[in-house]
Amino acid sequence: MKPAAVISLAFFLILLAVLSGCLNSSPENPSVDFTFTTLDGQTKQLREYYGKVIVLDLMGVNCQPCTLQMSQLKQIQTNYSSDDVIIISIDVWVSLGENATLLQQYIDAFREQLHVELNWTFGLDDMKGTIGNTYARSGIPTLYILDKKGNIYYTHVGYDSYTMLESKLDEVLAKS
Amino acid sequence: MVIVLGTLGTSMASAAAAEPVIGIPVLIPNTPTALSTIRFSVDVTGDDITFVKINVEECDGKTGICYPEQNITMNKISNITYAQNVTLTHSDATYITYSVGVQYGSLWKNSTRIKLNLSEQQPPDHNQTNGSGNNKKIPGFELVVVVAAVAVSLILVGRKRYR
Repeated sequence: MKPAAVISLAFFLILLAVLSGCLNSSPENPSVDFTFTTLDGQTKQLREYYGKVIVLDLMGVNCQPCTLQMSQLKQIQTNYSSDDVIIISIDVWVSLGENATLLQQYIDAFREQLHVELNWTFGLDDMKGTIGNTYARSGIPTLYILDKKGNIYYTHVGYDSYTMLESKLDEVLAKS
Repeated sequence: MVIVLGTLGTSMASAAAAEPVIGIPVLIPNTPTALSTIRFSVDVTGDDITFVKINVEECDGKTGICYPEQNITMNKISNITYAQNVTLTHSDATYITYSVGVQYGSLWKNSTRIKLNLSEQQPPDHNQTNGSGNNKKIPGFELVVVVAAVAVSLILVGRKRYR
């Protein structure tokens, strides 16, 4: 092989390496799992809910967009069978002073003032904020749609529309 | 929905104990911007007050994101007045919500949470750029262009020598 061709080949390999560095090399669809406490004090593992598509809502009682998000989640609960899709809302601001009492008051306020039953699984992070620090570092609400194996199919930080959530749920359900 | 939040910000204390009375917090400036420092002061009256905290949450109303709130102990500056400076930390915040938490004995009382829209930031000084006049380029891609140019040059030089 001629020297010029060797040099050219070397430069193209470098170029390829530079370009490949621009691509996301993280593993595709990592799974989500953690331990949380339910409102009645039980310790649960997220993996116990695998087998159905999970809409995981990491929220806080004192977060206005999280409150608005509840309407979209309620719509999901109404429009999808609980055999296919379940919703889990976790208060990740326990380390900032939120607790089971406040979360229960929040759910009660929806029922009493807005006549909306938030009758899905609610839970709390630990006092260290382990779940929030791992899965909601960019702020809340952070929403995940997990496929039936617990792999992340969709993530969104901030308030998300029902239309978007519906389209992602339909996609993941069609694939499973 | 906002009514729900307002209701949730109310007292957590038991009815048996004498609750402190929390005044309306005063902010200086009263039209803060993102990343600014706000001085909160509030009058609190009651017995056995051990802690007064200001809880400030920053949110981006455009994307619907709220960031973890700051819970900062307020300093007693007179008989009934407590004050503290809070520096906002998120440049994209468009509003804040704040409340005052008072510990009396072993109980806590929280004031109603108040929402305040932040004033728009001053536009950034566009004269302070790196001189390129276009700072929207993705960093690192200049290198790709350089490498490609060198490679093409070498190919051309190589061909010329070969002839």
